[in-house]
Amino acid sequence: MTAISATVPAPARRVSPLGGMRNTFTLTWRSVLKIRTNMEDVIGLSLQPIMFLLLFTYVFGGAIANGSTHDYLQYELPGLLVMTVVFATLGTGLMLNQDITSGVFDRFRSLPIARWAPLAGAVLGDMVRYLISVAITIGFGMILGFRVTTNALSALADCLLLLAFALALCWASALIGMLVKTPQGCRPSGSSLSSRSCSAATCSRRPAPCRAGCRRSSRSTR
Amino acid sequence: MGHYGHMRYDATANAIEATGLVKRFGKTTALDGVDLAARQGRVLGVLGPNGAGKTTAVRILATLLRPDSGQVSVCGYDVLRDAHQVRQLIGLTGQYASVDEGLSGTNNLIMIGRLLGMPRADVRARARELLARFELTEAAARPAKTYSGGMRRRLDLAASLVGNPRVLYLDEPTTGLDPRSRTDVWGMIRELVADGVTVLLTTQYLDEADQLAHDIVVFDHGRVVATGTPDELKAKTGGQVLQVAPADSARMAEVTALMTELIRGDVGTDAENGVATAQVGDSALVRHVFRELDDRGIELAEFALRKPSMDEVFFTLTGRRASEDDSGTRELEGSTR
Repeated sequence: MTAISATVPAPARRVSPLGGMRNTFTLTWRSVLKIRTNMEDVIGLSLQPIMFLLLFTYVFGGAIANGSTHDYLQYELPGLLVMTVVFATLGTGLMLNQDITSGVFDRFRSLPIARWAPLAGAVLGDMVRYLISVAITIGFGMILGFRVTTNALSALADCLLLLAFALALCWASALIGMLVKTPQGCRPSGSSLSSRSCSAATCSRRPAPCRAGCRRSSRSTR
Repeated sequence: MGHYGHMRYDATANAIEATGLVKRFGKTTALDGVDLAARQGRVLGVLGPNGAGKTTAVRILATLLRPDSGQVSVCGYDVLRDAHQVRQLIGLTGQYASVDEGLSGTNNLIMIGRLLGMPRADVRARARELLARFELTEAAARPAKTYSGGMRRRLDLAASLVGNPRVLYLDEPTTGLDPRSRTDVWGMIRELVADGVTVLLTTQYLDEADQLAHDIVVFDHGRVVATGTPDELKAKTGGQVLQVAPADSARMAEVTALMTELIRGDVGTDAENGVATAQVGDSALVRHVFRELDDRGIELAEFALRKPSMDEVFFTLTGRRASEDDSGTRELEGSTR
């Protein structure tokens, strides 16, 4: 438009990649702030791994691992870490969906920011949530008697691999969150996906002792 | 000053220009060839019942939705080709307050400022200034989910002003607000306009459009059914409104029957206030009605001729009441009068 006065800079034509990164970090900051204010989410996040640990170690563990709950804890905890993170990714879709239905996303989209920043910011912020649930699972596991038998470096590498896995997986949840109409809709579709895959995992039923246990129990009923 | 700063444009130009907007969702046509223009530094009121296409139009103007056809420019920038530039010039306040409920008032504003690329120190100062202006300083540190409806709307308005927009879209900014909060929001809109901001305001409340808008477009079923200043629209409906109230409310039926007979038009009665109203095109009729009433010895509490209200204008233009499908908000509207 010719009427723009010469002394005032014209609006920028596009967002620079650096600007996009800055937008992303601002929105990550927002997600992290929300974890702090939303205590229900934090409680839910920590309760799930604790329940899983107790359930698998003391309820199933006794039967599966021939009475030695400690052996079973050593075996199951890494698997439970994966399960915990899988469930935590459900929150990603839920929160994105809340942002969309409440109109917060529209506000973001009407701002001159990188188009990918709201999504990237939400996912990056959720990495912090995953980190919390991983820390709680390992911490509580240690209280129950779990010990790292290799070294700190491998344990750390394992956690990083876990976060990379979560980062890859949360996009599926994000997609559900974008497609489903209401936040309530995120739960069923997301959790059916993850609970199926989790119950099929071998971490919850150690192959050999389980077979032995089954044999024993079937013999006793004969 | 950064890219979020003030920019000067030709004051005679239209800040918003839309021509031939069409938008379909599946089989429903939300917009069916809409033209509208908002003058620089003025308030354009977009009026219409629920589902008339007001929100769809705002979403297109705010770059949130792509029209199926038609052209829109904001301050000379095309909303499709130059969307990024348009976003640097606009502020948007949605129909449902789009603040982040999990964040405090201050953090909501800081987030927007940071997203706009404002320096950290400026952002804090701007947030404080806006919170003070919208009387939210005391609640600034509380999460927005603890706010009342009116506070949330004010925060939403503040959030859309962080970047000093040249064009502000307000999509039903006072829907669901109590009368006092509505008057507050009106005052704030007037201040913004005094600062030279162009405002596009959608509303179901006719008195709101009457109070604030310099120009009005009336939407119905995705089409523009009328445009003009509030006075022009009132003149367009033809003639004036005769308002008669008998001193003795028992004679109300008699007055109504007489007016119906003489004017040969619709006579509206407001039983609660004991007033009968009818549109009259010919002033000779007014004298006729007065003489007849006098002859029959009906004492009058009120006999007045006035311009039609926006409500009556809307009824004439679209054949229905502005918010007949929304009885809750109508009650609210009535309470401000």
